Amino acid sequence: MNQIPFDFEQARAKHLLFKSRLRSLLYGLPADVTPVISHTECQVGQWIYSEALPAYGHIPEMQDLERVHRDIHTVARTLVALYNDGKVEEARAGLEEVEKTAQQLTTLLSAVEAKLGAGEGTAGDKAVDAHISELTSLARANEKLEEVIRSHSGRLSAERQTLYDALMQLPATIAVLKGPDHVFELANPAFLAGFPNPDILGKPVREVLPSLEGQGFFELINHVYRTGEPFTGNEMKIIVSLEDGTRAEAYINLNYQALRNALGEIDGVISFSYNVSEAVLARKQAEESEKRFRFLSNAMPVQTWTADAAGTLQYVNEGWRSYFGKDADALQAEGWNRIVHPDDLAQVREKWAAAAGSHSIFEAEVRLRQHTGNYRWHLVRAVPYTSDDVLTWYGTSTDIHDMKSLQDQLRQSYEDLEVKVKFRNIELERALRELQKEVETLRAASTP
Amino acid sequence: MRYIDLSAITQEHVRGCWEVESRMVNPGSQQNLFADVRIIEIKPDHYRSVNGKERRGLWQVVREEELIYNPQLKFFIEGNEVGNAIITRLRVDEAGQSELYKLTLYFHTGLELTLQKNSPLPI
Repeated sequence: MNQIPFDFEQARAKHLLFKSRLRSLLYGLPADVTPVISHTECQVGQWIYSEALPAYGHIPEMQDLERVHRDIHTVARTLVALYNDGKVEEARAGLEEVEKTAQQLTTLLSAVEAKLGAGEGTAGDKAVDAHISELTSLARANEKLEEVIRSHSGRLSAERQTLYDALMQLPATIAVLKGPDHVFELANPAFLAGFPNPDILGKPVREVLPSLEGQGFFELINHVYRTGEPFTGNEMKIIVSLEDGTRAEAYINLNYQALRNALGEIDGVISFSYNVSEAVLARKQAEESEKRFRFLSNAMPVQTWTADAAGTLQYVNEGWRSYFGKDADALQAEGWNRIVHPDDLAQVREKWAAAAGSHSIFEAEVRLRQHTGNYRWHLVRAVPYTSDDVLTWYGTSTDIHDMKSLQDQLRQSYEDLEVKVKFRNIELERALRELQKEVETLRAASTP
Repeated sequence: MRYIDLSAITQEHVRGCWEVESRMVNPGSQQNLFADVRIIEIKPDHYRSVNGKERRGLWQVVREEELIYNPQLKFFIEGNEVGNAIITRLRVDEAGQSELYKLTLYFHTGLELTLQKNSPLPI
């Protein structure tokens, strides 16, 4: 019987420890959850089932004690579950009930102890004193812990409020979906703004957003809920139903993240999305415009190109590629010297320097070398265009070789004609001179 | 395609066996001995023209630059000048491994012949 006071004092101490752990959990502090939610895993439970019940089970109060202890853990489990479901205040309010039940446990502990006559000093006074001292220390430590919890809890509440306010003000849409049916538990104003009737909390996502059916979003939420793997998607196309019954296309950056409770179990999914339709549509429009430009550029029977302020080629059309047999990069690497006829280079350099210096139109008739090695005359024009302080040259090279050849032929024909006429005149004059000589000879011969 | 500067044309340029590629004959030039010629072979010491029957004679490249810039190609048979033409053009076209030469002659009678040969110049 000497061990009785020791057993009961230990049980009281361990029970205090249980209450501290429960409180810690409900205030977001780290604590081992298993001895809180399991009546057999906690230290008092282990004492009850391994020692007390076998030894004192014949005492009715001992049976009551076992039941009350079990009830306490049942309540604790409920409170932890509430806390994990986000019902923090409700969970903390339940601590009072735990306290009442705990009083019963303490009373029952004393009753069993009294029936066993343990309080009559049969045990060693020194051992009792030691355990009373231990109990007192534990009580003091518990008080300190309570104080830390209160302080921490205050800070947490403030931080929680700040975070909540921030979430509510974000332009991104945020929603918390709970359970396997993905029931809306929280949605920020940006999310709710999309609904004519914002009464969506407590309703499953499929009921609130039926127009998403078949677009893969529900499947993604299910996957995240099932596996815990987060999902991130950029510029995802979403078709939504509008108030007037029409459907509209939008683009969102989307993130689904699994939510876990204190036990580490997935119990929900948080959805974070941002409407990027404006940027996507603007980009698509720019891409379409670029496509049209390239189509038009390739359809033109001239070589078109763009170059930066320094004259570095950026884009060349198909006409350019088929003439030179190279793309912009390859041509740039070789340099203009390789494609402009050596006799035209000086002219090109001079005119380019003048145009680049004054941002005026560049224009020159030059011979450009074809991929076959032949040079053909081209009229090269480049117009400077400045947008957002970036200067770009838009250029065309038009093949004027046939026209130039025709001009040359005409000029040569004219020169030929002149020289032919001159040649025939010379020959006629020569013939005339010879005729005159003959006439003079005849005259001299006939003169007496 | 390139043209040889007329001032640079020498006797060596006109040597070779030329075929008539085209001709322009006007009423005044029909009596020209070269009006219906098909081949003119110009060798260092004589020429030979073929138009069904052969004629042989001498030839000479002459310059009278004080009168006319173009070189003249004169043909003689038995000491008599039977043809005098100015060279209006000597063009060279690339033709694979060889070069195609085109020599245009304008005779004082108004006859114009374009001769061609497909072999490198002997210079």
